[in-house]
Amino acid sequence: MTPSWSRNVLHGGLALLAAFLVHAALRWLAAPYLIALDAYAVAVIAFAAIKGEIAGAVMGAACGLVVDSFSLGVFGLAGIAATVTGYLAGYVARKINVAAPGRMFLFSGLMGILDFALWIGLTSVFFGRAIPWAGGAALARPVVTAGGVTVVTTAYRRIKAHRDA
Amino acid sequence: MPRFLKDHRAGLVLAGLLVAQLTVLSLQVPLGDEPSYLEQAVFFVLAPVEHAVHGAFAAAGRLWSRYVYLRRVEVQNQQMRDELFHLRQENILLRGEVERLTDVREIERALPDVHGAFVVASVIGLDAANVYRSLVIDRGARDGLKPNLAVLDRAGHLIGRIANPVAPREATVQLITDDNFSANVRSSASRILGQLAGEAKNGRCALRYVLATEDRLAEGEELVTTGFDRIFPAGLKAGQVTSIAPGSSLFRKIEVRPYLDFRALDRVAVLTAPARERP
Repeated sequence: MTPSWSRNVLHGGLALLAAFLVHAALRWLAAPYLIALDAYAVAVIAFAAIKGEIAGAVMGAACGLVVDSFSLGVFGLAGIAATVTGYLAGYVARKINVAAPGRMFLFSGLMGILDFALWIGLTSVFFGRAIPWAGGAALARPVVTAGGVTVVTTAYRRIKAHRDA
Repeated sequence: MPRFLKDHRAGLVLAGLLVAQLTVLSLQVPLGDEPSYLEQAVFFVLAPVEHAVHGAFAAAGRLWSRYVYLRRVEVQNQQMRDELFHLRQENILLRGEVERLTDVREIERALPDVHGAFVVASVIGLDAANVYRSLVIDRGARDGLKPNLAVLDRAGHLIGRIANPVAPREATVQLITDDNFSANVRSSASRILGQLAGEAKNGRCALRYVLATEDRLAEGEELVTTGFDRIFPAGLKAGQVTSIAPGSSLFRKIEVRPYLDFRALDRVAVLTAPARERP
């Protein structure tokens, strides 16, 4: 295992733990609206945008595993959606410049829509499960995800630039 | 590394991950609702972390409410004194009634069963994909919890049942609003029987298998468990009928508002003996 690989694994583990802690903490603030506040989607897209498509796909698989383990839904469902989203987010972020916060917001919003659409598709079309719309709050999920990813990636880039300087 | 693998590394990783997850999905099929070993393993490892997060937030909350925000304490104190007074009076009257109606030896036999019949637990996590499906509590197999035990809120309303996975110190609760939840209930006034089922998409429930010709059921009626399903004991309040529509089939379409309220769902009680084992 090369140093960059082991560093990516460590960063991925920390990002997953952070998403888990944020999700656990959010229940204290807005339990019925947790559907709109997907900390795992933020972790997957932000990690993919920073580290690339392979890291994004692995992160998506890991986050999906955790989500499915803490849900009575079909085990493996969230993982497939998150893996594809992580891969595509990493791939697109490598092809186009998404460094500016405005572009990152737009890019992560589109990735958030993709993630949500994949999850809805797999949940309702293939497995016939109901979608929890929470009175329409679920539709805000891509926007909230985009905001979260923009904050995380901007903070990461600033910290990294400060450390490298 | 061969050139092909190098050129297509990302695509191969993605394909490998998807195949692995489809394998996990297909392995789930013969298990039905039983969690796989992988799912149980992740739950067993991460549930204590969630427990710790809950502990940290609860400690911060206690610090705030005990030492900083004391504005409502006096009012609450007075309300609780009044409530205690009323409950004491009620208790005295009920004791008298029980003694009048039942043989003393029978009461002595029954009281220890009532005393040890439930475990109090704190809610430490909600379902990661849909909050109306399940939650995680801080009691587990070590406290005698096992699947199919009824779970009640502070007011004694039915909110769900214990489901797999059950870790030594944590357990999953399938909520009354989960799509796969089902309990046999009857309406309080008209005594009409039906099957209460969850609707996770809107956090509500539905009363099923009430014939379209049945017109005694009214909106606002309370639903209580019958005990016929041998899972939930009889008499637990589950929800209120909010709307009754004719429905397109043989049965009426009846919507039920469950008593489940996330804002008041910090502590729950688990009835530790399944209905079929209870005296």
